Order: sequence, then structure tokens, then C-alpha cells
Amino acid sequence: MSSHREAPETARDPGIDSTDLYAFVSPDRPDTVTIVANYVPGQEPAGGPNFFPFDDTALYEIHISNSGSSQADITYQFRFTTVIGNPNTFLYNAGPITALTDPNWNIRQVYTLTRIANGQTSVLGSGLPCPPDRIGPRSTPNYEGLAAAAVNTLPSGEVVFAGQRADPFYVDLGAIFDLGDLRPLQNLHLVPTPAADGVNALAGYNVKTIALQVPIAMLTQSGAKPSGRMDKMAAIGIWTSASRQASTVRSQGAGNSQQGPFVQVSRLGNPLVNEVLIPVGLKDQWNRNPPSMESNFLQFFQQPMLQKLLPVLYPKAFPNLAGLSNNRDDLVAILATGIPAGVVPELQTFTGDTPADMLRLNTAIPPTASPNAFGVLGGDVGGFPNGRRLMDNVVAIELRAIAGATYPLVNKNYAPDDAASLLTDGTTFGPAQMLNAFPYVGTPYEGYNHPHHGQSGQG
Amino acid sequence: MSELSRRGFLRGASIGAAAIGALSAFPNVVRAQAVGPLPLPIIPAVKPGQAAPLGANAPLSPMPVVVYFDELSSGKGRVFVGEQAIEFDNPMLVHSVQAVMG
Repeated sequence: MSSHREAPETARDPGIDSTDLYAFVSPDRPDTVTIVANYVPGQEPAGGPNFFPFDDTALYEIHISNSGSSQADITYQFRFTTVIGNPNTFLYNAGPITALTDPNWNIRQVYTLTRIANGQTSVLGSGLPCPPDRIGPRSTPNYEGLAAAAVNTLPSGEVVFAGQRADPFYVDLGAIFDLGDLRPLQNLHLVPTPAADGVNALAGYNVKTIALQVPIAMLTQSGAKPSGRMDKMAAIGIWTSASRQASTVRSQGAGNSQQGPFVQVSRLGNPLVNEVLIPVGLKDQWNRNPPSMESNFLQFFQQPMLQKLLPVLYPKAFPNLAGLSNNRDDLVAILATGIPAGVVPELQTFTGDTPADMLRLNTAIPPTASPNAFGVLGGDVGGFPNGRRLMDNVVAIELRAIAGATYPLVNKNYAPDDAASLLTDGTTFGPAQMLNAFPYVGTPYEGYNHPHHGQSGQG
Repeated sequence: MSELSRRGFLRGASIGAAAIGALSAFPNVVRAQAVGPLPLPIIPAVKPGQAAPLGANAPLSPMPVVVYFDELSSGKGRVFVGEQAIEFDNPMLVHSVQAVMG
């Protein structure tokens, strides 16, 4: 998974588990950027009686760096509150929920959105409603209408949504963590079985989405849209985090209480970094560190363990990769500093020399009418690692990059193995996982009737 | 305010959090030795880990308070109340806690 349950502590604490971060120039509003931050993974749609709320005791944040410092120049904070109408019933709803204010809806959530920038803290909205989780035809008969009503356009210019969505990430988790198996290529694996299609482990599961759409001029250091894609201020860095208060005290009578300042316990920039680059003994520490301290982990970007495993798991398929011992400056550029101008035509995402895992987006590159799921590797500079769109095949892209497909960017004398450009887990993005308008993430799967374990997005 | 470290929560050498309850249980000790004035209740966070400005005559907090010693023998620790942490260096408080521990 991109970052689903990727560390020991996040695996035990789904409320603060940052699963995915997406950022892209909005396809229908290209003067804005949409940022999608997902949390709380593995939501079985039949999730009653409590379903899957955001955590009231957590602090969720989206950070933007626009000054080349790798520090947060802008932070959006989200704090949620659960409102229970009648605590004397076990019901999430006592009848059909036909509006966000429907008295039938017993357990609802609202949130406060705060923006911190230029030393100032501003509450952009409070009491903003989340939609209910998608239950079934009797409880949430017009779910799309409820979700649309939870899209809030703020006086400050942002558009925001927070609620349940279909998890847009796609990955054959069952195979990949079975000793690095890739089903389409498993006939070549050290433990071979006949090749097969990939199986999306997340098909049919939901996630909690925070989606934020911001005018580009509000994200750049200059306060204006960049002059062009080679403008040094065109590229911004984005990451998400979740934090908990320093102390939790549990008592039988009074219940739980939290005290103390918030301590970061989860962060996410690029997909799959903590998942496959950071060793298990450091994953929790990585989550607690800000991106500006990435130098403490740089060795894992420079010498990824997966690079050493591929020639072992797929004998004879990676002879050139097996002989590659230099530091992977290409991976550092892609994931930790951004790609400077002059390396990839029509693209630069460089935000400074300080390594920091941030999802970098060039806000001056417009969305393309024909996106390629392989992003920059597929010749589409509008895709990952220039930001990340919902449909970008980050699993295949990063597998191919680690396998050496991108090393020629820094060493033209290196010839990637043929197998490097073929790596894939065999899963594909399902069209039902995406909408054509904000919040773009697809309608969640319904509790009453939903699929699982399909071979594509919808299962 | 210094960054909190998780080491104090994980290492066996540190003393675990002592939930003292309302501040009224040790008002004289804490007030006499506190680094600064007591915090206002329910202060919105400016950013993670950063305390909002403290009022000079802030009242006793009605909320639960946790006193955490990073290292009991040093007398140094933190008071957690609301979303704030206030550092202190209070050997007298150590004696009081040891008396409670027996």
C-alpha cells in the first residue's frame, strides 16, 4: 500500500494513519491545485455500528513548502468533533439520512479548518459538516447528494471536503508482500508459479479523504501564479501529517483524557517511501521526524534494499542492476530534492538542496487531456513524480525506478535491464474510483452491497 | 519551548506519568516553583507543539493535569495541561512525589 499501515505504530492506530497524498493541478479548474490527503485505511463498507470516523483527538495537517527551505510555509489544520444527538441508542441513524442536518442522523462529525501562514493563524471555517458514511439504500438513499452537500466553498477561496470515499490506491498487496511477487511476472520468480493478473487488495474498501482545492496564487511564495514551468517558484513541496497529544490518561470513571502539546506520529510525502525504503526499525522514528530532517534517512534513498532484492528474487532478469553499486542520485532527485531543470524535457520540480520527502508539484504545468498512468516515465510530465494524480500507477513507476529505469538520468553510461521497464504488479485504476469534479475521489462503496478483491478498481 | 522527546516515554529508567488530577492537590508546590504562569484552559494550538502566549494571571486549570518527570532524580519535567507543556525544574516536587510513592 502507498502508506497504509506501513509502520508498526500506524498499523496499531488507524485514526492517524496517513495512507495517501495526491496533489495535482485541477483538471477542470487549472488555476487551482487540489490536494487529497487520505487517512484511516481498510474501511470495510459494512462498518456499523460506529463506522469509521476521523479521530476527534488527532490533529490532521497538510503542509506546503514554497520557499525552498523544506519547512512548512503554509499549514492547513483539521480538527474533528463527533456530535451525538442521542447517546441512549446504539443507532448511527434512526431513519433515512436525506440531508446533512437530518434529525435521523445520530452520530455525525464536523470540523474546523485553520490556516497558518506568514506567522498568522486564521480559522477558515468551523462546524463544517462531513457526510455520513455510505450505509445502504434505506439509510443513505441519495448518497451522492449528501456528499455534494459536504463540499464547502470558503470565503477565503479554498474549497474543502472531508469524508468517506472509495480508496483510490491500487496495489496487489497480497503478492508483493509474498516475497516480492509480481503476478504477471511470477513465472520468473525465485519460487515460480504460472503468471497471472494482478489482484487489487484495496478494491471494495473505503478511506477517509480530506480534499482541499486552493488557488495557485495562494500557494506560491510570490502570491501570484508562476510565470512558467521553469520559474523557480513554480514547484512547491507538499506533505501531510497527523499528530496526537503527548499524554493519554485512561480512567475507569472519567474515560480517556489527552493532555500536552501535539506530537507528530505520522507523515507522508511521496508514496511508498516509508513502506519500502525505510527499514522497520526506523519507520516509527521516520514518522515522527519532519521532512527537513530527511538527511538522517538519506542512505535508504541512496541504497534501497529493494534494489538489492530484485536480482535475487528474479534470477537472471537484472544483471545490470545487480552490478549497480553507486548511490542512487536519481532516486534522491525524484523523491528528496526534486528534479532540476535540464534533466527531463519540459519539467522541473526542484525545491532546494536539502533532502526532504515532499510530494513536489510544478504548479505551472497544466493538466493534460490524455494522462498516462506511468507519469513522467510514460512521457507525461503532468504525472508522478510531478505531483500525483489519482490514476498514476505509482507502484509500477517506483518499481521501475528502483530497478534502474531512471538511473540514466544521472549516468548516461548505464543501460537498464529490459526487465526494469516491464515491472508491474498487474493492477490498474478503476474508472469508478474517480469523479470528474471536486473532490475527484470516487463515491465510497456501500455497506449493504459492495465487492472485494477484484482485479481492478471496482472489483 | 523545547521539542518533546519520546525517549522519556519509552526508556525504563524514566518515571511514568503521574496523573495528579486537578492542580488544587499541589497548588503551593507547583505555583512556587513553576517556570512561568499557569496556562489558560483550552488554548487553540498555533502549531503542533507550540504553546500559545500565557496570561500573567491565568486561573487554575479546571482540566486534568499530567506531571511528567523525564528523570525523577534530576527534578526536571513537564506539566501537560490542555495542549501545552510547561517545563519545570523542581526538586521539592520530587520529594512530594516520592512521599506519595511510599
